[in-house]
Amino acid sequence: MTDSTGGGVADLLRAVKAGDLQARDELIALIQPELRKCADRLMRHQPNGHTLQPTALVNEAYLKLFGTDDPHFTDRRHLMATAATAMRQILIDHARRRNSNKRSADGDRIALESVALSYEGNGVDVLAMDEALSSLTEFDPQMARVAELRVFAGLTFEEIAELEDIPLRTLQRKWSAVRAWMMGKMA
Amino acid sequence: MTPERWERLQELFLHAFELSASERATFLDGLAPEDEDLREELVRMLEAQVPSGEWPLPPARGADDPLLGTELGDYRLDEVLGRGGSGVVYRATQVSKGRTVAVKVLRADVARSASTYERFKREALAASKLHHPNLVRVQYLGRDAGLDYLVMDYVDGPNLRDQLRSCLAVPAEREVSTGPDLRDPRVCATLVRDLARALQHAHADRVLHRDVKPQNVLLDSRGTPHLTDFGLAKDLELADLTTSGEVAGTPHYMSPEQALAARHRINHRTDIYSLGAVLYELLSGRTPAAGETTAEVIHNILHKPVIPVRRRNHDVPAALALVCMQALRRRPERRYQSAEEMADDLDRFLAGESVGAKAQSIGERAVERLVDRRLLLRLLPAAAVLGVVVGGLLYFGSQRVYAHSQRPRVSVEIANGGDARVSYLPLDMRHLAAGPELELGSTKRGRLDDCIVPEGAGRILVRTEDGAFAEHYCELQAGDRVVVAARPTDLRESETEMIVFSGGQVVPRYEAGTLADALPSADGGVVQLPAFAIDDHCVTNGEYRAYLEASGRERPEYWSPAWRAIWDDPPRDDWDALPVVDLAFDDAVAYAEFYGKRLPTSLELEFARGAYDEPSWLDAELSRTATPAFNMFSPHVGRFGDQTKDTTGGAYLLYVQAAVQPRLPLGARLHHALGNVAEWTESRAVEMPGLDGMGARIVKADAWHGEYSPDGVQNTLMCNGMAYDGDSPQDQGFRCARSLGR
Repeated sequence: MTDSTGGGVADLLRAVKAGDLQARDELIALIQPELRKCADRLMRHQPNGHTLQPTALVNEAYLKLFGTDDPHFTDRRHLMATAATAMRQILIDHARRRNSNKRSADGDRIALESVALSYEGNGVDVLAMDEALSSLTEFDPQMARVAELRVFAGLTFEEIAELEDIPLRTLQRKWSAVRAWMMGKMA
Repeated sequence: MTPERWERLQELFLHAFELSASERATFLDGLAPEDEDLREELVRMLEAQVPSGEWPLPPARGADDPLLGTELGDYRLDEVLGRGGSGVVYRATQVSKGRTVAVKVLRADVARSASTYERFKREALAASKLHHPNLVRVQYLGRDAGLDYLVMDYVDGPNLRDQLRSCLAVPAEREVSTGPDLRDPRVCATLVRDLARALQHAHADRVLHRDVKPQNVLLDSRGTPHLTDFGLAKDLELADLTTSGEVAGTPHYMSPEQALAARHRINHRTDIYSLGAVLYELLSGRTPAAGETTAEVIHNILHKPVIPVRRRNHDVPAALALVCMQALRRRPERRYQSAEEMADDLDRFLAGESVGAKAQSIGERAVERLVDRRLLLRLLPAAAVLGVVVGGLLYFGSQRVYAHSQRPRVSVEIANGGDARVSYLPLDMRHLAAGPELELGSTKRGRLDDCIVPEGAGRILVRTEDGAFAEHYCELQAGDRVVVAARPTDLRESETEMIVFSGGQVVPRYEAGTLADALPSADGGVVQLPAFAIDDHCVTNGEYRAYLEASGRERPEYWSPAWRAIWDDPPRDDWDALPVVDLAFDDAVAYAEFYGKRLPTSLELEFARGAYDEPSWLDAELSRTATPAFNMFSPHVGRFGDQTKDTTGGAYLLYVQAAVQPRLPLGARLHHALGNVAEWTESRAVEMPGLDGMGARIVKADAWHGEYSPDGVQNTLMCNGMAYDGDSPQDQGFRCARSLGR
């Protein structure tokens, strides 16, 4: 993102923090093309058969988008959470299109496929995970957010503990329960 | 599922998960009837075969680093050596010369902040000028492909932490195959001595390390230690603390003052503490502050005394243990005062001579928690300048114990003629009245001698017939005899420059910020803040110059030649309008008292800051970007200039909730109450829970170079720091206040 639009991101971010849902959607819409571009770019530098880490994508996109800003730490929370949601949506869209055998119009098909494959290599069905997360949101929105940050943005537990203001050990205990629950749901 | 049932389900799962298969069956059979509805989910969770590792996150691969094999400038990145809070370090080849170097690529989110980058660059440049056999040399600072990187000498050995781990893994009877044998205390002492000399070299050039830890000490093939990452950690500690895990940064080596996140007010003694912590770990295998989480460690650094190293390991020679513990004193002024002193003491130990370090006596330990005795010393320099005569004797240390059990005595001299009534107001820890004012009497021919006052903190109040007034803050102990030279002044003489607040009921709130877990919060309840007046601006260079002339006083002796040169030939036309900085507490007090004023208490300053109730004005002020006007630690905003820069000031915050929002009188402006320079207050940090015994003063507002936070208005209003009396930070000034309603 260039300097001229950096202010736009900052404004959106401020609105997101104030709880503006429309601004959040706008911010997601802003992040997604960048995620696709990053996927594409990263894929071109990878050997064949390589799978892409979603984490790498989110980090790349994050830097590209906010590279000229200096987000304060508390902003990072909102940015990373939004970026994780954006990543989740992209992957879900991709998985749905794939399931319905529709060709993606973007040139990012291979790159996104590679990201999807990286989950599948770990026995994760992205669509089933999305469903599990959606129901988790209903009764434990915080842990659903944690799951998003962990799974789609690849944040470490230390980072998440700080972001969400949960003691690290509490977070890890909760996470082990959430994982078992998700696994049960997705099985 | 409801949130409540989900909570219960997690509880049951976490409990059952620990059980064996048969125990689980029993547990499930014994489920309470009200938990029956959870049985199905619970069983499914227990039976789920969650793969080990990071499931459902795809497994990470080490080779995934996208930069490996690429070139930045002349450097090809060959291998990841480590990842830290501020970036990734690679082994790299300088292509044109074919030599091996280490390249640190600054984390992009760190580098992209212009101000952070400028600081990084400044520090890197400073570090690059350091040449010492025990310092890793910084060769080059480059930028390529949008990435900032730092080229350093490559040291091919392990870091000290890894070496210690491998040494401890070797059975006692076997020899360590490579590198120094860190099980030998003399080897440790030699190594730490070399590091202390390296630190001394840097400190002499005014470069702080701020992140001395075993991971930052690299051992070459001969076992020589090299300290790396010099100064790069500066201002990044908080980021490290909050965003990274074990690899990036551990708080174990942080000094108490660092743990308080008073990040602008750290000096070289912080590095000495950290080096002491490294020695402690080498000798005992443990870090001085225990704890699993950052918050725990920080809590322990602040609240728990360090367990003597010999209690951890009886084999540590007594003299070496003394050296170690001396470096780890909680209060900076009780540590070695220079890295050189520490190195010399280690040399003495190695030569078999007795060391200078002394065990802390029980009395000393107790005193660390009491009012600082050195406070009396604070009265001395001020006294000498202002014509205050120190009457009788000041007793310190053990002499006091047998020589005096008398209550403190105060004599008062009216320095500018006339007579006055004198009284004493005892103060509590918030510097609010702790009891009724005690009449001490009236001066005769300008003098009142030997009035007995209570021990503790209080104000000596001096009032003349015609309404002039002076007040002197003091903290006295039994046996103290002091003479105060009062210069009563009429508030009307200066009221155009002071803003009067009528005070009122306030609720001081103590809140923990990002270190919430570390520090308990406390609610002080409602207190009555008496009326006061406060300067509408910080004391300027011009005003300080005038004061020096009027009082016949010299510039502080601790001012550096460079700073003096700037004063002699200011680099800016508006120099005299800039706030004066680089003054220790005593000198700020001396200034205030010369004009019949005092420093504000933290409650007063905070209350006055609360008068800002115009968000639009705040927004405008906050959104400006500050650029230092020149390189010499320059406060860049003139006396009534509009530009200011505000910031959050650390983890520990204080604000005042007033029953009635304080208002500025019509037309009055409290200039730069939120930023520009940090400001001394009279209040001791003891006011902040958990900070007792630290002996520091609360410092309010933040300086021009602080980070602007978009979250900021609230944070800005709350920002807090601390400084020790002897500190004279380059970003800290003061404004004066005085009591009213007399």
